[in-house]
Amino acid sequence: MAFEPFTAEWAREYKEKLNQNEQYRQAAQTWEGPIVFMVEKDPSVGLEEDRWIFLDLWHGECRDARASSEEDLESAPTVISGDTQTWKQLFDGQLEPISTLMRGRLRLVKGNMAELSGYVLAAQQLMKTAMEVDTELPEGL
Amino acid sequence: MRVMQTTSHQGLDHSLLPMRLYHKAKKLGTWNPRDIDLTQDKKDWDSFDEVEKEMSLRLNSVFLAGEEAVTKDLLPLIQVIANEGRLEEEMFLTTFLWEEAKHVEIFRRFVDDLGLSGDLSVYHSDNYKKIFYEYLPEAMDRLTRDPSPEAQAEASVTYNMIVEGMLAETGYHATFTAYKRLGVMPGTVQAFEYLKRDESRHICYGVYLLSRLIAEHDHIWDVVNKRMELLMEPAIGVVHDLIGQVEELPFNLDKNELVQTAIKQFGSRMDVLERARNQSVENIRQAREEEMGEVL
Repeated sequence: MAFEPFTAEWAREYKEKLNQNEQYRQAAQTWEGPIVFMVEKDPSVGLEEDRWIFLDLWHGECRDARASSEEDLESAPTVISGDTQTWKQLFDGQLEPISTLMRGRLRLVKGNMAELSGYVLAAQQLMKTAMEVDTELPEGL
Repeated sequence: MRVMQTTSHQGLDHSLLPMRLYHKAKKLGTWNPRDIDLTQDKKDWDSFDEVEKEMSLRLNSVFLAGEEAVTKDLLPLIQVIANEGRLEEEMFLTTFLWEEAKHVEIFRRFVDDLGLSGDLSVYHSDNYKKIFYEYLPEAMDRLTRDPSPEAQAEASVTYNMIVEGMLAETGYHATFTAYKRLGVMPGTVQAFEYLKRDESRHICYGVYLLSRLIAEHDHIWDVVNKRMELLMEPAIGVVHDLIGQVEELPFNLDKNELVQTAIKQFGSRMDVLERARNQSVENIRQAREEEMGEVL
């Protein structure tokens, strides 16, 4: 079953897949702290507001994943945001996740790139797993 | 029967970017490592504390082995370019290899003249070995059997974009800036000035080569991206292995700034390469050096 990205159902599915990803578990052994992925609003495809998910990540485990609140957005130390086209290209496999982040197509709006870059493999697996969630992109994209 | 380009009406095309780099190399790449005066450097070295000595030695070890690796590994690319009849590019590549050899010489001179000894390869981390002992020689050696555009692109990404463009350039810039700011190691600073200028031409050629390949075959853009993605983890790992040894880096070096520099260089070169998708091969061949990221 396909889910609309960055919704509560999509986040649940993402959490399940992430916790099954052995490579992620190994690579993120020392990762402590939540991260938010955000898609920026795009009224042309019916996305009237920014939408984001909150992942509570701790030592290779995803303890929680939820469609997120304002509080989550403020408390998360790391927020990565992109427009609908960039996320679509990532879901379609046309963009590589780490390059996209390092080139600023996915923007690190909150957090420290130097620290994050110490977890390239974990970040790679984090993004790859997101791309493995059965995703139904909004029409028009 | 072979056809001689230079005795035909074709002659040499001096407007080609690699040919312009060749002319630059003849003027700017002729410095002699033996002419660098390291007298003051020896005194400065003796006054360094243990942390400063350790970091300088670690850096020199990775620079020296890196230069040896790129000297050893470049030949297959030159052969491929020669076989394709790209004489102007081959002429530039002759300067390229000679300069790499001089880089080996100057880094070894630091070791010898400063009276250092022992096995410096102890400073080569697993990430470093992955790139310099495995990915680089494998990608370059593949060209002896497989001169395809895909193999050339993977070789150039590894050699020019990651080894030279991210690792060497970031490391040279950081060391140069740190010593210069503190007014120490004047001979080393002078050498780094030359090194940076040489590397800038080499990377410019790499960006040119990849741009030409992308303009000729659009799918090479995906090959470049996939290779970058593969190498990013060990490449960033090399930087972290270097800066993660101590809480505070010596010489007022800033960890965050180092990582940001590496990432910025990666990003700007990828932007140039992506633009090549919409350009003609002719435009690439005539491109200005600045368009390909050469600034020195």
